Amino acid sequence: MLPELLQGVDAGGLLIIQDSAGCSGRHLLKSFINAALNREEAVHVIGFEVSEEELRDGSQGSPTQRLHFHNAFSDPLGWTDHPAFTVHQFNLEELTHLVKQTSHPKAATTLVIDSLSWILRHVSPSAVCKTLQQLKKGGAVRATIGLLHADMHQRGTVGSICHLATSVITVAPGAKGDEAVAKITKRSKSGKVIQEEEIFNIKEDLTVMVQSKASHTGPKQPGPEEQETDPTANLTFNLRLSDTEREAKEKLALPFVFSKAKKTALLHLGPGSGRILYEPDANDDYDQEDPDDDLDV
Amino acid sequence: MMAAPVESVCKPSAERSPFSATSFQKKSRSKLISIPGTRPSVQNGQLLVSTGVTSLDFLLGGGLAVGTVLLIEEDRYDSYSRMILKYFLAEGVVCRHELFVAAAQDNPDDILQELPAPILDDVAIHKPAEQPRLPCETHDSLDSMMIAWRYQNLPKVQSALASSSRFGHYYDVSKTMEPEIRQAAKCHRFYLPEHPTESSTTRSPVLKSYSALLRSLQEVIHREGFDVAASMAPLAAEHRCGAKNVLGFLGGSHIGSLSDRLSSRSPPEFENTTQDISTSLKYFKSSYSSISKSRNILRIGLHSLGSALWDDDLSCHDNPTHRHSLTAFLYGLRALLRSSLSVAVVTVPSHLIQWGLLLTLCFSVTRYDSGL
Repeated sequence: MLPELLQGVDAGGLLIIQDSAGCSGRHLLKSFINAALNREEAVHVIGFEVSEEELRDGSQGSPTQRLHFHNAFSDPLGWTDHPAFTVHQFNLEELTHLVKQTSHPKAATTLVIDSLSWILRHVSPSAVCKTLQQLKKGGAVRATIGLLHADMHQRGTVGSICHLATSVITVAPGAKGDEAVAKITKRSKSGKVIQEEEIFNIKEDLTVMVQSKASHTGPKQPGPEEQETDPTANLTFNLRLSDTEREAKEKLALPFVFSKAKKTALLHLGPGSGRILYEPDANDDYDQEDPDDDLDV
Repeated sequence: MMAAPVESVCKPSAERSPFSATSFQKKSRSKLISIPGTRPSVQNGQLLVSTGVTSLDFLLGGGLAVGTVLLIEEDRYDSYSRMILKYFLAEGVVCRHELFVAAAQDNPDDILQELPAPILDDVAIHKPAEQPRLPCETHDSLDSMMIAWRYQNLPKVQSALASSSRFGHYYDVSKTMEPEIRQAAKCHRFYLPEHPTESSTTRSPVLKSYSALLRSLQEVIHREGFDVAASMAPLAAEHRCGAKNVLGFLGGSHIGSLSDRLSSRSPPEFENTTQDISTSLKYFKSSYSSISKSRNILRIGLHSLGSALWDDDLSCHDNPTHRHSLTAFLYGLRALLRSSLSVAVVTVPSHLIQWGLLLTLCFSVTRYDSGL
């Protein structure tokens, strides 16, 4: 499941990586950025929490010229005269402008928000939800990936954000030091929901190695198909007709079967024949099974 | 002497279509108004419509009473509750009811495009009735009936009720409804992003988004004549100021002539009273004309009310600032529907709402847990 998500989020997708103080999801976020860069996509990172150097650290091997960092780390609230990006610029118009300004218009664009928690501290959740929903609707951005520190917010805020997401990855510490557990909930377009739990670790070059699937909630493997038996195989009587038998049967004239001419004569209605006119209505719906149907109750 | 009654008998039947030429009318058991896709409740005679899910109708005691609100608490991933909403709307399309769809997340058109396909036994509901075949045409198909060939020339009779007037239908979720069937239904849409509402600064009990929705609903109900018709329906507990009695006395044309006469002959001292009477009569006249139009049901589907996309922070905070907004809206909705021929299904993401909201305002609350 995790490798599938890394291969690409569907168009109009919103992926939320939920983490907590116990286990950081930033490594996974970097893996997602790396995977998108390797797919020749333009990646726009809105960085509130780490500096550009720290974010680029570790992704030396991948093509980084398509990685656009929008610095909201140095001045997130616009206290200086020339802030690059502030919390209050988090709306569709500003983001569209930002993305159109710096990237090639034809390239598929992934917007990475590091992190939503920073924005949620200063902007009302309903405004953030609205912007995320507008981003989902398409336009400038093909897919959105957001990091969310779930333990920083009230349960309803986290729920509201995750309610909009097409995929949610919740990262929790694993049993061993370098391992982590990812609980993945993916919503497909048809409305089908898939949940999986995977143990993974992230290597030096930011590739994700899935160790094992902790639990499997997918559909169970169907059992070996039941052998189809032919019920007419071992009968004590004959059910089949041979060709000569069929011929003889078709030759046989049945009683009350008339010739075409006679049928037409009989079917031809005289001028004085009547017709039945009948219009069904609701009261014809008489239920014989119901003993009380004729009662006026 | 005999010519006159014969003529009077023949005349109306000649005006009718050949398929309704019978004067035979079965004595109807109920004197309730009959709208396709509705039936009176067995318990209390309330007018019921189907939710589209036959088993849910059974749980609700036969169906949804017209003029009430069904609140559905969404399951976590909104898959089952959304399905119920779509069934409710699809049932309205099949019964030729009018629809009102409001949403903040998805465009109402998208919801309408996902309606499940009805399983109909009479596929030809929109096709004209089959003409009786001429004897010469049947020559080719004579062999098609071997035994019961005598019935070959008889016109096909629809013995079951047309599916649009039946109560409750079955749907195939794996298919979506054909566009021709869907577009035959009259549908009103409310998509919140298309209704720009400035952020509320005044301390009104209802959020701007909700009051815009309520206003839009009210307008549709008034304009399409769903409100007044309800005073004739047995479900309304109180009849509006005896309007029914007045209408019983005065036909539509009489009201017009009477009010003209009153206004032309009025001495100046009675001018005010006469004005009052004539305006009230005008009101009755307009209501009478809207009643005499064929009555129909308005089905209202409101998706994910109370979510953050409706500008509501009810689901975001433990201590929301607009804590009474949804409640006030539901009050308004209930009051609006109570005297109208409309029925609403509202889905609410209650799993997100932390604040202990008492959702007792609705007629019935259904909670769906997704089996994941």
